[in-house]
Amino acid sequence: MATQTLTDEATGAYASTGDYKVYYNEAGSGETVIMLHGGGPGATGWSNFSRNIGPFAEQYRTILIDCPGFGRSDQVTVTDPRDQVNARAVKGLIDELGIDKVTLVGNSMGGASSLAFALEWPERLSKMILMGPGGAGQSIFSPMPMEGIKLLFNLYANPTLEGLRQMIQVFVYDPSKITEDLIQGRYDAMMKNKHHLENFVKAMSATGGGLTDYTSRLGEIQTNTLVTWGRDDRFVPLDHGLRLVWGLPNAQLHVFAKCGHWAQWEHADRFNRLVMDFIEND
Amino acid sequence: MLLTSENTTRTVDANGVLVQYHQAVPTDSTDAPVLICVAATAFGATAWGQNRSNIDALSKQFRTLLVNLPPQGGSDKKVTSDGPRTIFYSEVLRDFMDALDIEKAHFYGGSPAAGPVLRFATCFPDRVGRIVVDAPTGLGRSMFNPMPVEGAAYTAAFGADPTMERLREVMDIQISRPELREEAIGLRYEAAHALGYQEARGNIKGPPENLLTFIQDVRAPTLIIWGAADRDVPMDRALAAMWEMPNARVHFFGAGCGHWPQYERANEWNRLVVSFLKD
Repeated sequence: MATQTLTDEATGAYASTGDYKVYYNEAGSGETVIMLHGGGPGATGWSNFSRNIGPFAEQYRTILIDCPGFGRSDQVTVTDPRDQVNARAVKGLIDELGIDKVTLVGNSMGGASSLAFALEWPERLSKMILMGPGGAGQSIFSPMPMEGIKLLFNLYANPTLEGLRQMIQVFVYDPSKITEDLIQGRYDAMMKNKHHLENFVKAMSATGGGLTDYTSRLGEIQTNTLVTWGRDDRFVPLDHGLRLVWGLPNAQLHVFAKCGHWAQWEHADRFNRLVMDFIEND
Repeated sequence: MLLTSENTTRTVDANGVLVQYHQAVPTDSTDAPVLICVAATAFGATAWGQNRSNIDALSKQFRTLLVNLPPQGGSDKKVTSDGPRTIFYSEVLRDFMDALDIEKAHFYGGSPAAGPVLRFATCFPDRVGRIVVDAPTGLGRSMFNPMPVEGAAYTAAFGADPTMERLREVMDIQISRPELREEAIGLRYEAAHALGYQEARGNIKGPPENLLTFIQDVRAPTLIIWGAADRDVPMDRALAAMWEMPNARVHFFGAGCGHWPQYERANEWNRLVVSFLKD
């Protein structure tokens, strides 16, 4: 399928995952690659992976999931850490679609969700790509919450265009690449379902604020893993990449220069080549 | 006697440059070693604002001088310089010592004042005992935190528009514990708006300097102190400095400590510094 023919609407579908109904995009055929988006307000599978689904769909059955509480998926106030809720949604979806094994590409929160999945259902996982993932606890070198995460929490509590602009500004290495259209689109996505935003804020207090810290369990994960990081990431600290590549028994770390928290968008071609090569040949 | 900014303040003519400083001395000793604490040159920073939580403890052991470099605090508003700042300030400090007949001293400097202290130690090594620095600026690029740092934009915004609101944003970043911010904000704001200060702000110019190019030559034993939650100068720079210096050690305060360890952890800091300087 040619890249330019793919659209969110044309590839979109709903599935029941047991706990929740989730929205997902699907394109291509072959081995299954599922991409999991990050945790920012207005994030969806499509918004995170619009520059990746095309090239991936030429080789793989590529699925982008809107996690519960995001995009067009069910509203939810989670009481478990969000990464675990997301991992269950992935499990529910592949059961529903009759897929045996998948490769997970997890961005930020999606990375923590991938770690949760890897610990719970390793037999269903082929490989794993973690992009500036959450789930690695405290930093050794950066005060936390990091600058970007502070702005993200503020934006959830107080969703304004100005707050969004401030967050996006530190999201990528080169803010001049961010168009007004992109900001407006993200703003519209964010405001489309205000319950998602309110539920996130409620869940923050219910779950003690965040993602599971998997550092003590990394050694259990045998999955062949590629970890990627943006050198200039202001949301999840670079030293977590080192922690993961030491802690995971079968992992590599790739650091993109001049890159913030959005490698798959900021360095899309490079990222697509790197990840597809890893899936294909490693 | 309760030490105050007013009852400790003095001025001296240091080879034509007016230097305002605070002095406190041990009551039981007339020949205590001298400790010169150099104040940061950030917008509105002053010697008293920086070390008011330390002067009591330090002056029990040392003849303690808290120095405002021009144009900070009550120091010179006329002198200008456009060479490297650390060299200009080293010469001011030498002239200051000469004017007070001080042959040798221990030195302390934090943030932008660390550079002048370390440079002084390379220019006038015989006049330095031991050195303590807090979170020096000018140690190059962090390996773990994207730069410019989180605090940079807020500091620049306060520089351009010195309102209380802007200042609060700076202190929110710099000082980890909220309850410690208000007093620091009050002192900084007052000094930033003191008569003639803003006009003199641009007097001391100079190119950006990288301390990593000269700290190899600092022979004085040096203690580098850093708050692990410093959002203004990333803590991995402590390790960079330590590896470059022949005789340095590092002390990190933990997660609750930001860019102002001497204030945020005053009691521990005082014990640590006194013990190091007397080592």
